[in-house]
Amino acid sequence: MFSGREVEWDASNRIWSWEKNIVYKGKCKDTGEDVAVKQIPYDSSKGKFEGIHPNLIREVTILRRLSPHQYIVQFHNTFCVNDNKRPLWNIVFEYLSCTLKQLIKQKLDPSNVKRLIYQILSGVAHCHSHSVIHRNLNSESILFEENSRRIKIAGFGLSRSCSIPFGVEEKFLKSYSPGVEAADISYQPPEFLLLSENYSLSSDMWSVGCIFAEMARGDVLFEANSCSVSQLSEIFSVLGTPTEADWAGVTSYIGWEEELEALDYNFTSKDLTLEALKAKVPALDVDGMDLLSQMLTYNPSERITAKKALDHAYFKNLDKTEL
Amino acid sequence: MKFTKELKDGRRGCINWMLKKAEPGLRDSTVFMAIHMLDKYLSTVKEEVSVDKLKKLRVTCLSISSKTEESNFPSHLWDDGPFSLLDNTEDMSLHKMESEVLEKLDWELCWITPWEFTDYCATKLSSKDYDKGINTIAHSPSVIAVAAVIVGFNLKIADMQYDLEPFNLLNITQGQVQSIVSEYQVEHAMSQGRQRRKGRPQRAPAF
Repeated sequence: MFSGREVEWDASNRIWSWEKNIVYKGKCKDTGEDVAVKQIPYDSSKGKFEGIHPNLIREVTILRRLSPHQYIVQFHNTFCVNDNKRPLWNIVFEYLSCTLKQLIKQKLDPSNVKRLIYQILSGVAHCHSHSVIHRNLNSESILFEENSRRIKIAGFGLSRSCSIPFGVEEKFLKSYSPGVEAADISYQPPEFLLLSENYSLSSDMWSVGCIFAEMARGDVLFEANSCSVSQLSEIFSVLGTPTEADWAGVTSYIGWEEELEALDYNFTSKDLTLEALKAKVPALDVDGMDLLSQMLTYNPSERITAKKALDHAYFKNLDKTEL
Repeated sequence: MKFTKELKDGRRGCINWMLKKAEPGLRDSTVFMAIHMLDKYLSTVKEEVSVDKLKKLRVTCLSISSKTEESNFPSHLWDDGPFSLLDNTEDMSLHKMESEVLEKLDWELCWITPWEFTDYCATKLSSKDYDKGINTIAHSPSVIAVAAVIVGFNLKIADMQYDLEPFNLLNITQGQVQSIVSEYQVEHAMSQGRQRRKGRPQRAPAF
């Protein structure tokens, strides 16, 4: 654990920023260990101070629940400093220089794809067993540690706790603000894009599917579009337009528009859908394709869970002692 | 810290206040988390907690839990609402109080309250409205929820004939539930001055 006094950082050494949140590369004064320091200033639109920022409370309490774990970014501490008479909160994490996206750019061979997706699924299963939905899994919120050759899930700023018990019908699911706007649109599941307010852990699995495909093909699976409707049509052009038979209630979501109905990418059989997906991800073998298609299932309640995915035939020849 | 009668009354006052402030607009789970946070804080501190402090605590706990649980930020609670009470001074006391509570709890909030389960269980059995009970920390949340629902629905407690089958998903045993149900029965019988009515109790118990 570090206290505020033991960490120093240079304001010019920014590694990430989003809106007013900034991550700096810093150092622990005593040990010289590199750390990442995330600052979340309180943004009070009314000019009135209203306590600690909700995002900070969510992120820190979630990290306290999940960390330490071999596939979750190590959380060190949170502390408050005085910034022009206003409190400024900081979260201290371990520092990792490489994102999964950078790693994908260097091209991954099939055995590494298998190893990494297994690690990602283990990390996601850990989150899910602690009733945390990540909500923003993408190739930049997953970091890579070069020494241990392990991935670490980070970026819990948008995460929430999910409905308990697991595996209940949609009407029992907690509601959240629809379509997480801040999350990367390329990885958003169709229910986010359709502005569903009731979703659960299965939404993360869609994103994991997108990451899996991205690792295998070396590029983003669904290129980011400017709005949710064009993002949906991008997905439909690969996987077909979902019907009520595939996903009961799909056409009654508020985000469902006539435009989408008219698209009619009509893949009449499941085999044809698999063909279209296979064309996008030619490097995956039969088992890999089967796992991917179970992650990219339209109906959230039919999507494979992280725990089940770990037992999938695709991993049967993976040496689990070397993870 | 000793759990004195004053503190007990104070705690009850806090809970009633939170339940009242939560109507309308806040989720049940938000209030439940706040109650649990208050209990955890009270069980952690060593010094006496004054009435004044309790008043600050109830605002603070509800503020923290609504920040984590609600998807629409309940700004109506601030605009001259109860939260502004703590916030109208220059020294930012809400910020100080939130920091104090979160640090005292080491940033560990109770995410899984019995509440998460009671809604689900009650809906499984009936579409009727049901009364709400208050929790204890001795049992797992799902067991308390099922027990509360069973008592609340006047299922055949004495004969242990209630069926846990609808709750298979929760993976709990009849023994776990029965221990709470019978605990309640004893307490209930005592509170009735041992004049147990022939009919079943109307309200769900306050656990």
